[in-house]
Amino acid sequence: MDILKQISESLQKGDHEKVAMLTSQAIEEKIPVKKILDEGLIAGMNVVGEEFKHHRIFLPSVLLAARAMYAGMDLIKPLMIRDNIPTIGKVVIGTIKGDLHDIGKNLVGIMLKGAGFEVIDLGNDVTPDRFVQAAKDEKADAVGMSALLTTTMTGMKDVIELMKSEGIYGKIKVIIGGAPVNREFAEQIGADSYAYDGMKAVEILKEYVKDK
Amino acid sequence: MTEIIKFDMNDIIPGREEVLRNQGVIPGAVLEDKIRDLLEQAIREFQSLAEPVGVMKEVSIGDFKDIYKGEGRNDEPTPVADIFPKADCMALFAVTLGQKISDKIDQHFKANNFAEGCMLDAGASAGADQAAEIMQRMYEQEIAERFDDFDAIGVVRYSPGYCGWHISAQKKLFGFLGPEKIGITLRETYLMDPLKSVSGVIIAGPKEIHQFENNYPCCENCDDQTCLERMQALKNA
Ligand code: B1M
Repeated sequence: MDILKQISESLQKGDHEKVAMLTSQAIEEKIPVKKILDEGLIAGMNVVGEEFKHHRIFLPSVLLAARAMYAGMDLIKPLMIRDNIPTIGKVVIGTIKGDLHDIGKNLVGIMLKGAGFEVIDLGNDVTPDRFVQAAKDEKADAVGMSALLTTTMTGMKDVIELMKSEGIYGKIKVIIGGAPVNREFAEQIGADSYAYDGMKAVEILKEYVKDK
Repeated sequence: MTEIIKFDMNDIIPGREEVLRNQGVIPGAVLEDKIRDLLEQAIREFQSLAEPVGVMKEVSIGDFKDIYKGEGRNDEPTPVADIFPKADCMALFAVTLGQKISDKIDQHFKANNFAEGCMLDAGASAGADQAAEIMQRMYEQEIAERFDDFDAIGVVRYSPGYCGWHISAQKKLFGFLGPEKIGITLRETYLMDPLKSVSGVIIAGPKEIHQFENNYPCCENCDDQTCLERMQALKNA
């Protein structure tokens, strides 16, 4: 079987050791890095995403596959940097100030990376300053914010206000999510979009970067 | 009197079905061995890292009126506002699993062990809820002898942040109960630290007082069925 197909299949099975081994082999065989990424790792993750969407597999299997994807990515990332191969987009994510909850945000980050985005994860309890500074420094395509409570979600507006005063609002997209957040709230605070879950976030952000 | 409660670990180990359900796994789904292994690993980690502790204090209806009111941000009306004046007795409570379990979840994610992290997180959420449930049962046992016909009494817990009771009421609840004694602190955003903590009031009174129609303003955008299930369970008990 073609090595890229083997990478994709091992990834779908969540076999991170095999994915790492096969990715090293593919690099040694001088298969272009972009091809390993697109036709091996991302191709595998796309299958996993579809299976998950149709409830044929559950979250734990997706997460095992994601670890396998990261095992491969760790090996090709230095080569992508060396060869100046861009990712499909860059997203700065974090949980809003005053909020410690980050499982939801982590899951969104994993899904985004799995789809080929570069993700700068600022962690939790992130101040508006840090969101905006990172978005500028990293020349991000989007800022993604997560919140757990109705009392912390209001901090999302502060980030947007700061983006406005720093002149990056409208240039960098804003996507929000988390249990208490919804589409109306996103509209109210001026976020570009709301995502119910990680899959939806990937879908929305893929559209954004396609239009860029 | 304020009571500090140490739990028996065996009482709060999360149910395996619930841990899986918290991650969207449909009950009865056929699982691969490696998922089962992850589940068992999470249960073991839960047992070694959870430091469950709770605090409980009885409160009068008069005192609770002010605690309930909180910062004046509650919906009107709410189920709790209609229920508590009819109570026979009640107690405030807070429980936590401590910080170690949250740190471990964090470590798993940092090491790219996402499935392990998520499984433990789901287990810790279920465990925190279970600890609150145990607290309720303890109060139930404690007050049973005060009633001639305890079978007619329903003991149910309610938490700020649910059913129109605004989460900002946490401030007064904390002021009265003092969960800092067991290591829970409250942030300006009313978030409790450590994360895997639950607070609320346990209300005891005639079973009927806990039955309500779900047509309160807070019910409008709520698809949580827990209140309906609890009311049904109380009817059947
Ligand atoms: C950037 O773009 C994006 C895009 C999508 C994004 C995104 C960013 N970020 C997230 N998403 C989305 O994608 C993710 C993956 O699918 C999802 O992320 P989530 O983070 O939502 O999902 C996680 C992976 C799993 N989900 C969760 O972990 C939260 C599930 C629910 C049921 C929940 C749980 C499990 C818990 N809780 Co509680 N809890 C609820 C939740 C109700 C709900 N249905 O969501 C919520 C959040 N809790 C609530 C409350 C009130 C509370 N809880 C509390 C406690 C707990 C437990 C400890 C029992 C437990 C763990 C909490 C934790 N998260 O660690 C208390 C607070 C805890 C604290 N430390 O302060 C307490 C205050 C109750 C109390 N008085 O004790 C409510 C908040 C309402 C409000 N007013 O703000 C709540 C919405 C329930 C409700 N009322 O319906 C999506 O939201």
